[in-house]
Amino acid sequence: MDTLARVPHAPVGLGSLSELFLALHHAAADTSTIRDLLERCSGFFNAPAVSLSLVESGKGKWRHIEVYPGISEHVSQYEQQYADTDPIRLAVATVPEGQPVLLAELLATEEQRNHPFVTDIWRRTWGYTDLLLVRIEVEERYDCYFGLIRTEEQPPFGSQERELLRLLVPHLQLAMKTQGVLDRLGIFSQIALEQMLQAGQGLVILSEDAAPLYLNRVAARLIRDTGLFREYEGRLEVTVPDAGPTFRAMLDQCVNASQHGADRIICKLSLPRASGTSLELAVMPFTRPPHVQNLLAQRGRAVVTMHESGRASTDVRKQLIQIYGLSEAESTVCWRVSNGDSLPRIAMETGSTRETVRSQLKRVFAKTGVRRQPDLVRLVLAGPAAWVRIP
Amino acid sequence: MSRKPQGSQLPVSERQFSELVLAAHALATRPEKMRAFLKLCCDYVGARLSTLALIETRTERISHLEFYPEAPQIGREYEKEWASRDPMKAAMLRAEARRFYIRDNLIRPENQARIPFYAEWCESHRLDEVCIARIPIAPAFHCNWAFIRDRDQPRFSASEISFLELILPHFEASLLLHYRLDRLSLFAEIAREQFRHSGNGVVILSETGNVLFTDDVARGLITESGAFLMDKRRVLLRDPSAHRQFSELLSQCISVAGSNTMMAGGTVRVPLADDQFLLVGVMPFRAVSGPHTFLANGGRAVLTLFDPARFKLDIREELAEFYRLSAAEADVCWRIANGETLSGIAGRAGVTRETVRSQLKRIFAKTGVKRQPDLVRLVLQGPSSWARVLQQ
Repeated sequence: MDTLARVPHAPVGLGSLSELFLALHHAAADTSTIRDLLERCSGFFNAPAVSLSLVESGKGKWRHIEVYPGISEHVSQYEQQYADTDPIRLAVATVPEGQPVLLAELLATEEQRNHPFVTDIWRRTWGYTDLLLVRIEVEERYDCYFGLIRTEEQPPFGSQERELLRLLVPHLQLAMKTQGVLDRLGIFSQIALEQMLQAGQGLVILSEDAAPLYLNRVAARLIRDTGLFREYEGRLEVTVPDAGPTFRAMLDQCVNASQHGADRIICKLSLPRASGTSLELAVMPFTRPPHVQNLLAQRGRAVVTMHESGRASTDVRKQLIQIYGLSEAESTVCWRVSNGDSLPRIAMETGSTRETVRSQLKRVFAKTGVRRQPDLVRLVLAGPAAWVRIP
Repeated sequence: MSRKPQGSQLPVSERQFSELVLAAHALATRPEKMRAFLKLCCDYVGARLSTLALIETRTERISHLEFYPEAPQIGREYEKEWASRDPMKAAMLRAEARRFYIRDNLIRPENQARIPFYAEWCESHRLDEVCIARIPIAPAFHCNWAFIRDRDQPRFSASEISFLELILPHFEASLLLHYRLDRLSLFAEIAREQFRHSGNGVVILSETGNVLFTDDVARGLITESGAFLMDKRRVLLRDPSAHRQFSELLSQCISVAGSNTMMAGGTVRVPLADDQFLLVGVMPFRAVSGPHTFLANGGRAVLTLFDPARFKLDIREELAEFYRLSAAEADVCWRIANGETLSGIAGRAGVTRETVRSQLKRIFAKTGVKRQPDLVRLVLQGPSSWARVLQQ
């Protein structure tokens, strides 16, 4: 409102319109703010009830995303009992996408108007009098419905409200598109993060000035706990005496390559650890596939991946039991083999004879259908056990 | 150079305003529309030039992301010669974020005549008045968004500045979302590449079991393995008992994905010809670390299709480069990871088994692993496996 006052001659409402648009686009990026958006819409349209609902195109079940002033008994009643027969909803599916419609237009026939749901439930029990509604498609897979409801205390919706809603429609469409994009990317990014966790793979994206722009959990732990790194004036540095300058030179080379789109480079740096194992770093220029539009990370970035040699991979024994029907003991042998343990070592550490372990491994081969140890490693590390989560 | 309107086109109607705001938000997913958006803003406030620049906070290094009208020459000249001598750039580092400043707000008018930046650079390009705002993006960098007017144009008025400040939060929200999507798409790429790398196909199913997404590997397996019935929207297995098992798992997964309990998925073993088989992993999907979207609330399932006999993505180049292997060694390394035996490799390459064995010994020496299973692990999960993902 304050901004509005500062724009002389602006049509009334530009400031509050701006706030409404902003709330809508915020809600698309952060669904926890949808309630705030609906509350704002309620005030803006003078509608005591506002709902946002979703149905999968074709045969999906109707479900509410958010309702103002709150999910009530009406809502759950509606979803369970009335959604499939409600003449309003049935009529709405035939309305062109993006066109706001009024209740009177939806209930065109006498039969629809006198439908028991409309007269007994919607009007009498719930006390609603009018509805202004729009259908928005989401990637041809879902239909989203944005509905504004009035009661006896307000006049029926008029052309002014319809015009306002029409103004909102392209913003709703963009918001739905954003949700679609976030949905798809979200699934895969989550899988990637989990896979990196499982493989013990640290990942850092660095700016041209070696400032970490992003680190995953593994990298954050390795940087914090190994004593091999430090952050100095916002820059990531390697503390190992000889490797420090090498690391810096590699970063410079990769940043430079990323700025000029040079050929592929992978620099390898091995940092020795007290335990006798090492931390393997790969330093690469950060280049993105051309089809990925990225405005803010175009140039001057480097990626560092961190890999702990000799590190055991995530315990997937439960997965192995469930997926291949292994016994507890067999799952242990199977998992240990995929971690690089030899049969004598497994025998020694599980307190059994080498022959027992060998016969357990034979049963593992029979149950999984593979015949050799390297194939078993492949099956465990890349097969379904690596992707199926068991808490 | 074409002449721009002398003054602004304010006030604007609600519809015009709505379109401008929409154009700002659309940039998050369509950044290639940036120049068109800058033009629209220039037209409204009556500016000749608009720029969006990225500044690394610590080094203060500036690089232009977009110009309207296209002016890479001026941009390069500025970045190279003048950015360090631009007093406004320095002043903007200390200025309050998310506010538009004009030239006289940033530098005292009486001092301006003595500053070479104005006397030389601005003079030679006939640039005069500026209106500029700082937009924080991440701790390491921020953006400066500027509008520039000509000598013969008036100063920016209070109403023009207010108008720009009305658009600013929309532009900022859009840039922030763009930044977030950029990171998410990086990880999405990594995941897809990991699936490809490990020979897994992936299919995502909606709450009604409809296919929402299929990757290339999965598409290949579905059409070529003979294990599936063709259906655009659903996944159907040809083998009746496998399909029954699959359907049960799927409905279980979808129902748990929609609720708060997280239970196990499972795997269906689908018989193929010649004693071969395909594994179909079924797991519930719930957003835990990714963005929360209302689309996924009703439940999701992720299928992974794994054909143990299938050939895998070639990372010989990465192995050779990363571990300094010769071409022949990289080949052996990769074939072992793909399940080939030493004699098989020898036969295929037309060399003796002893040759392959000594190549393997050199591979062990160079990679630091000592046994074949460890080599498989290194190829599948080691640093070189990520190199391809990150450098396509």
